Amino acid sequence: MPFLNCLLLFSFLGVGGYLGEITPVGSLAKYHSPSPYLSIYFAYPSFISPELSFSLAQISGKFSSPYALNQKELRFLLFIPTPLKRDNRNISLITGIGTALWERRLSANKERSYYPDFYLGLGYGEKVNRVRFRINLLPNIIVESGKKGDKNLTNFYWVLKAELGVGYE
Amino acid sequence: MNSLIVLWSFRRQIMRLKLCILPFVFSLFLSCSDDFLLSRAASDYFPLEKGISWTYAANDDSIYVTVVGDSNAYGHFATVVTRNFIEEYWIKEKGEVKKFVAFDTLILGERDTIEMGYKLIYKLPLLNNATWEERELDTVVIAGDSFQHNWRLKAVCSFVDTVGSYFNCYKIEFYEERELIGLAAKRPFTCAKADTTLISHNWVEFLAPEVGVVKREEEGRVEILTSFRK
Repeated sequence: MPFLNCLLLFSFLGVGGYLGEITPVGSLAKYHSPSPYLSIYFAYPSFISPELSFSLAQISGKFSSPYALNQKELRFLLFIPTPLKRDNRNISLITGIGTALWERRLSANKERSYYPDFYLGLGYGEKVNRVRFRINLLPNIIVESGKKGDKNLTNFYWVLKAELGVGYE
Repeated sequence: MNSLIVLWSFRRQIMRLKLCILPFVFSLFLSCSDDFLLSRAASDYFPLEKGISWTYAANDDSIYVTVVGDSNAYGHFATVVTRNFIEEYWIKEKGEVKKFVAFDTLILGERDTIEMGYKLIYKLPLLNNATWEERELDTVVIAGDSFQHNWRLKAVCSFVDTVGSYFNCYKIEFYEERELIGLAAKRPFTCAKADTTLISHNWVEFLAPEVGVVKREEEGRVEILTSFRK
């Protein structure tokens, strides 16, 4: 429902999709390989181009068994303009927050948990008539925190998302 | 007048943005849970690096387990682990952890080795409700008589979270069965009575991330990890 509410808040929308690659970095890279992912986005054409997107990724595991780490994510990005722009092309700084459902799946068995994540990256955009092309490079930090016994623990995980998008606005 | 309109439209945009961000801020709070799923996804539950050692306390005994190094054993490149100075051979590859097993039993008054080879023990990654099963069927000759030998191991994995001071742990229940069926009984036109021996062996292990086995229960005997050195 929050997703639908957010959509209704936009009086005018740009709609598009991303094809990307999610690359686990650091400790997650030990057992998981880079994998492709798909995403759809709804953007509001304004100065900072707020964008709401939903993505689905299946990160394959380095095990022989049919194991995968899945991510279903809803994220909110802001494209902050930089002075690097020319005609219909521009480079922007991207910041954002998201919430993701992570799922470890092995055949019919699964474990799932929600995680918050944060984005800070760079994007290149080009507009041809009403069609917008985008290339985003998004380092994504995932925060894992909770209480175990009498200890409060916080872990950070990294994934790098490189995505190619096309949309209409 | 124009600047007022611009200011008003800017304020409206900011309001919309706030309303969009709000569900995310709520979701960030909802996301904080005590389930460390990504930690489990990034962890090794059966480390076999050279130099690692475990000490277990079992009743009045102490058990010392150490990873000595790699060696070529019984036709495979394996990791040598000593358990109270007795060598064990392990193979860990592509999510499967196998152990060299030489099983001998007393049958027809003679002690004989009926099984020898690398057997699947763990299937990684560990996941709640995951199960794995391994079977072997062959023929062995003991004191001149042929037996059909069936070996099966079934493992059931469940998430238990905390075991002592370790968290994010999995419990694995192992059910092992060896069945020896005298083949004389299967021959046609013979009156020999079916000679079947069933040997069951069940045990439970608790594995913690980056540590390995922290607790083991087997026929009333409990081994608890007292020290771990990496």
